Amino acid sequence: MIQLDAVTKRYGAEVAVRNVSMELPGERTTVLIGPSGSGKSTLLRLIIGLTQPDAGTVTVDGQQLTQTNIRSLRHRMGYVIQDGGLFPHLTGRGNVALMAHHLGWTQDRIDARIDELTTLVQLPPDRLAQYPDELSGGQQQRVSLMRALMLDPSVLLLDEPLGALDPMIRTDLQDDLRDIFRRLGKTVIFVTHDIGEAGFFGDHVALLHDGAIEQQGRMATLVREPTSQFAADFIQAQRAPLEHLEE
Amino acid sequence: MGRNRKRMDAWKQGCSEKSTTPSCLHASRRPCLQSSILALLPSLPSPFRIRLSPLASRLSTLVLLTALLTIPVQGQDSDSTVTVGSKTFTENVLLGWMGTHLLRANGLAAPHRAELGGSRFLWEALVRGDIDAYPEYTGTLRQEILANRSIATSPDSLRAVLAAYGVGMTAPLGFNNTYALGMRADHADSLGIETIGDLREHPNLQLGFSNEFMDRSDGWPSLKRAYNLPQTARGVDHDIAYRGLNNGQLDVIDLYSTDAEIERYDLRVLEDTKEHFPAYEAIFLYRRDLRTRAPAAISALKRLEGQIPADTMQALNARSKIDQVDESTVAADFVNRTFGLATTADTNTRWERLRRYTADHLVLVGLSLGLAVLFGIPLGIIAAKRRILGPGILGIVGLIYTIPALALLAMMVPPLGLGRVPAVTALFLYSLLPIVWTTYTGLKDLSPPLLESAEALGLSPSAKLWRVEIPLAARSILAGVKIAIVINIGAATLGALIGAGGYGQPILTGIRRANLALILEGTVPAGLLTILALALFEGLERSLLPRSMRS
Repeated sequence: MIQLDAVTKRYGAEVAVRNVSMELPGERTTVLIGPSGSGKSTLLRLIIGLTQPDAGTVTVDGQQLTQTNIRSLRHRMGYVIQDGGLFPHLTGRGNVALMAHHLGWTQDRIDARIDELTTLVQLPPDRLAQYPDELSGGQQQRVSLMRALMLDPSVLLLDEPLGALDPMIRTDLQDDLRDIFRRLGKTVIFVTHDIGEAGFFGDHVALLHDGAIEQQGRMATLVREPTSQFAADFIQAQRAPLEHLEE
Repeated sequence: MGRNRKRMDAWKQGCSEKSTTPSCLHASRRPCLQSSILALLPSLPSPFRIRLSPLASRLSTLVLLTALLTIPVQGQDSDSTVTVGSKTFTENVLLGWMGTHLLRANGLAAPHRAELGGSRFLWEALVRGDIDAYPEYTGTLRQEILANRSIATSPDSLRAVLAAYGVGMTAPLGFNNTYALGMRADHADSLGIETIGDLREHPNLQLGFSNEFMDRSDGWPSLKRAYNLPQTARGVDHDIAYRGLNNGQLDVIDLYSTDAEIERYDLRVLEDTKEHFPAYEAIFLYRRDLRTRAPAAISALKRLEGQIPADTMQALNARSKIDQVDESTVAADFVNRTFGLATTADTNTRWERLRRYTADHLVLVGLSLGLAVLFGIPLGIIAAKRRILGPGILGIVGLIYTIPALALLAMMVPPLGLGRVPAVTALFLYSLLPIVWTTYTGLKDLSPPLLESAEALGLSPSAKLWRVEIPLAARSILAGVKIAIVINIGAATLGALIGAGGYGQPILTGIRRANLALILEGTVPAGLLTILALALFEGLERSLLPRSMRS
């Protein structure tokens, strides 16, 4: 479970996150949605400590994030970004096992965990011997997910993980991801600007606007009862292209 | 060519003619290079007491191996070794060889560091103890080296001053190699000119003098005054002056009284009736500590006293310079003929020479590059990681690089003496820049999302550095090493200037003798070595870098 308490983050004069307080309940998927620049990625980076709040606190599993505990807390969090962030000098397996090697896991334990994860993310095992640039975009994201899950974290943070994929692969991976999230029962925070994707994953959705939470709750509620003009416009903007076809 | 005797800033041309020349001339006087390197090695990996990635550990093993392999395996000089030095022109090299052959005939170990440099350079090497003896000229001592001391004209007063420096002097070897004026003999005969004073009667003669002679205190201005000469002279390059004399464009030039060309061009040396030019009697200088260390050495050198008349020296110069017989042979023939000895010249086949140059060059390049990699990569890392130290490191390394390689080499000599130590130090400093810079930029240019991914995983800073950052920057770092290899192998040819040997040695001798074959003897192998080193390095790069990181 993750708790944000009056968190503010500024980049120079610009306020990226504005006095945000929210509770992200455990073992559930929360989707952060909003236009670019609304602060959703910054929120994720605040949670994993890649950036520090100017005010307020972030609490993960009951521990407030500090410079001293951040590294050990990160072992309880997995992080996947849009283009995977895989290290080009390591094979798929090397990427997945990097942290476990560093923590001194035995080779047997590493191999067993990788076997489990390969099955979970449905990656052909021989692909793990390839370097990232030898893998397709979808495969890269599956490897990236394996790397995030390697230490069996309780929290999984995904920053537009499907954003760079073409639609067919994207749909495949969406199905697999939702399936994985349900099976693992982890605290998942999923960032996207795509309302369809948000609806697909989200038990709980938070709409961000200009660094603040505009509206949060169940997806269906957000779509049917937007509480502000911005929320209504945001939903309408993504619906518009298809409505045009329906006429 | 051959005029540089009095050029005090003359560039230090040098080489060690004997393969036995060690990197440390006298262990007792200076800490030895080998031992200091060895002392350094065990402490190297300790700053990085973390688990290295396979790449990083392979890289550091490589560095250690390079450094270890290139440590010269050589014997030490004993106290009884007598090292002879000589200056960068033929006559002095010949005299150096004569002394060397006589020392060896007396059973002494006598390496000859031929073509070491100019007068000042040899003098300082002698006083410091890098060499034990070298041929000098009394005029050079009085007019240049000890010019700030007022020394009475007697040889004894010169001896006394030298003794204060711990230096002894033989009696004159028999010839006076002073400045002189020369004309074509037939031309002089037709005009009836025999002395410098006779020039007064022929105001239309064309006088062409070397630029140095135009400037010197005992050169043209004072000569013109002393003899009341009406002509104006122009400055000409000395080699061109001989040609001008030959084709009639010049009538009178300056020369040294033992120049090989005098006989060759059938020149008349005009008599200096007013004794305007100071005497440049050839003598041998030696360290006075030889009297206890190797007394036989002094008596061996003294055998040359009075044995070399001017015309003999002229003929020997001509044989070496014009007939291109190597100095060691000419000198050996002379001492054998004069003293009834049977010494043999230090001649090597081209392959033997090549092997020696290659060994010397590899030591210079291997040691300096190994050290540059050893220090350059950590310095680049510190520069990239420490905001306070970074600009300082980059600034200093950049500043070193702005010093011309030649000057950097020269700057190493006062504190470090001659030979490999200063050469390796200069080359090491010179090779630092590309390695430090590419390490720095390689680390600075890493993609921020990758760095954040590493951080988000929870890697410690050092694990992040060794497992992610350095491997990702490896291609850039290795490119820097590659640039350093190319620069270093080329720059190492300059090492010959301060007696470190290598491919620069035949190049320098070739330049002095205007012998293209000799120049190529150094240039071609240096080029081949560069190509070979790059090919080897690229193979190594392939084995170090994962296939995804290769270009």
